[in-house]
Amino acid sequence: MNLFYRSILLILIFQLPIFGESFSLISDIGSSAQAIALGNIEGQSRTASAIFSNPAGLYLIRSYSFSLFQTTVMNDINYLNFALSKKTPLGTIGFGHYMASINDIAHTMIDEATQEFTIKENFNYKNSVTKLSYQRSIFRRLKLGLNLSKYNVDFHTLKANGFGVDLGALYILPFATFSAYAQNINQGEIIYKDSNNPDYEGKETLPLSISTSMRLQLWDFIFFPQVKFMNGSMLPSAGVQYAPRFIPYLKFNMGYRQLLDYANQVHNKASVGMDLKLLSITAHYAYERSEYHLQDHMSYFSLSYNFKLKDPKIANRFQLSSILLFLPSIYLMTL
Amino acid sequence: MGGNYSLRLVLISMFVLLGLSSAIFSLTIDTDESSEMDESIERRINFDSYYSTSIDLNKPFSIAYMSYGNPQLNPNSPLNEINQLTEFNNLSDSELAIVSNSVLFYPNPFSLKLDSPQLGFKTTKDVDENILTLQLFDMRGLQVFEGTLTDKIIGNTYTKIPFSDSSFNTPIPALSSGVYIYLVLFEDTVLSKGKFVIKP
Repeated sequence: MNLFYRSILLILIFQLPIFGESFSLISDIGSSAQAIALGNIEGQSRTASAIFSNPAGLYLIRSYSFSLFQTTVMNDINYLNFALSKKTPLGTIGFGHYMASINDIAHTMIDEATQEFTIKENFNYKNSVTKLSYQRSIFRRLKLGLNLSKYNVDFHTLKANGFGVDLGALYILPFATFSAYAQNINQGEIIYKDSNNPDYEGKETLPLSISTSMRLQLWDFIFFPQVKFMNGSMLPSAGVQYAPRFIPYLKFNMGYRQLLDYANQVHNKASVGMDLKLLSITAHYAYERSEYHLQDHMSYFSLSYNFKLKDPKIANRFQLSSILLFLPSIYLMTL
Repeated sequence: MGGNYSLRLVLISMFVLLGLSSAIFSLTIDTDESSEMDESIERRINFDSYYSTSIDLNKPFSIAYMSYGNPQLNPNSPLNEINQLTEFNNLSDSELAIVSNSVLFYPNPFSLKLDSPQLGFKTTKDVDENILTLQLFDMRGLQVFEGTLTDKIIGNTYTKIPFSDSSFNTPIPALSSGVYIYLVLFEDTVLSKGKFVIKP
C-alpha cells in the first residue's frame, strides 16, 4: 500500500466526529429508487448513481453509465439527481448533480395599518450538491472511490456553499461484497452570506456519516444488511432483493431503514419496489408510506442506462469528448 | 419451443405487472375511503368539486385537502379557486376556519438564534387551549414536531404566538437549516398549510 492510501486510512482513523449544528444533506433521501426500496443501502449500486452512495461501486461500469432519479415530496419539494460516469484506462471517472427545490415560499412582513402578518413576495429555495468522482482498483478484490463535493444553497437573499470529501471502499469475496463509505470526512463548513445584510454570517458543519454494508447472495435472494453512524446515532438498515430466474428482467425489492430527520430524531421506514430491465435500460420504482397528513405515500422513480459505443469512429470521438464530461461539473462547482 | 417459452414469460410478467399496479392503486384508494370520518365532516367534503366547475362555497376550503381530488396534485383543479379566497363570510357558526391569509410565520426566513419568530392568524370563533395543533415536516416529509397551542385563541381577533417552547405543550427540537412545511390542525382537520425557511 503506498503512501497515498496510508494517508487516507490515517485520516479516517483519526477523524473525530463533530456534533455541532450540522447541515442536513438532501442526498440522504436516497441516491436511486432501487437504493430506497432496499432500505437506502449505501455502497451496493453498480451504476452511475454510486457517485451519491459509494463511488467505489463505479468499478463495475464497463464503458459509460447514466442514471436519473426524481421524486416529489409532500407535493411541494422536488428532488432530482443525474449522474454520468465513464471508464478510462486510469480508473472510472464521473460526475453527479443532486438538487432539491421548493417554489413559492412566502416572505412575510407586518402590515402597518392592521399590524397583521402579510405576504410581501414569494421566493424559491434551492439546495444542491455536485460531486466529482474517481474510482480505482487497488487489488483485484479491493476497490476504492473518492468524491469531491460542492454544496450550494440559494434562497431569498442568502447564498451558502461549502466543500466535502467522501471516501468509499468495496471488498469483493466470492460469496459476498463488503462496503465501507465515509461521507464528508473533512467535516467542512457551509458558510451562509446575506446580500441584504453584510454583517450576517451563518455556519453549519457538514456531518460525517460512516456506513458499512454487505451484499450476500443466497439462491434467488440477495440480502443487504447495513449499519450507518451519523450525528451520534447508530442507524440499522436491511434490504432484500428477489431476482426470480424465470423472469430475468424483473427484480423485487423490500427494505427497512432508520433515518434521522432535520431535528436528529430517529424515524423508521419500510419500503417496497421493483426493477424492470429492458435492454440496457433499467427502470426502478420505490414506494413508501408517508408521515405527512395530506399525502399518505411517497413514490420514487429512477432510471439507469449502461451503454458502450461499438462504432470505433464514434467511440474515438467520444474518447476526446470525455474531457467535455467534466465541463458541466466544473461549471457547477464554480457556482 | 423457445418462442413459446418467451411468450409464456412475457404473459406471466404482464399478469404480474397488472396485478402489482392494480394492488398499489387499490391500496391508495382504500386508504382514502377507509379513513373514518364522522358524518359532520363527511358532509363538508367537496367530493364533487374536483370533477365539476360548480363549487359550493358553503363548504370550507380546508376540507378540500382531505378529498381525494387533492388540488395540490392538479393545478387546474377548481378547488384552487377556493384556496385563493381570503374571506369566508358564509361559514356556519359551528365551523372553525382560519380567516384571511391563512397562518403565517414572521419573519420568514428566520434564524432560531437571531430572530424571535411568531405565527399569526385569525380564527372564525374562539378555540380553547390545547386544541389547535401545529405539525412540522422537514424536506424529506418526516414529522419533526407536533405540539398543541397552550393558550386560548380568541375568535375574530388577530393572534400572534411566539414560535417557542412556552407556546406549545411539547418543546420545539433544535432544527437545522432548510425548508419546513407546517400544518395547523383542528381535531384532525387541516385548517392551514404553509412553508417557512430556517437559516443558521
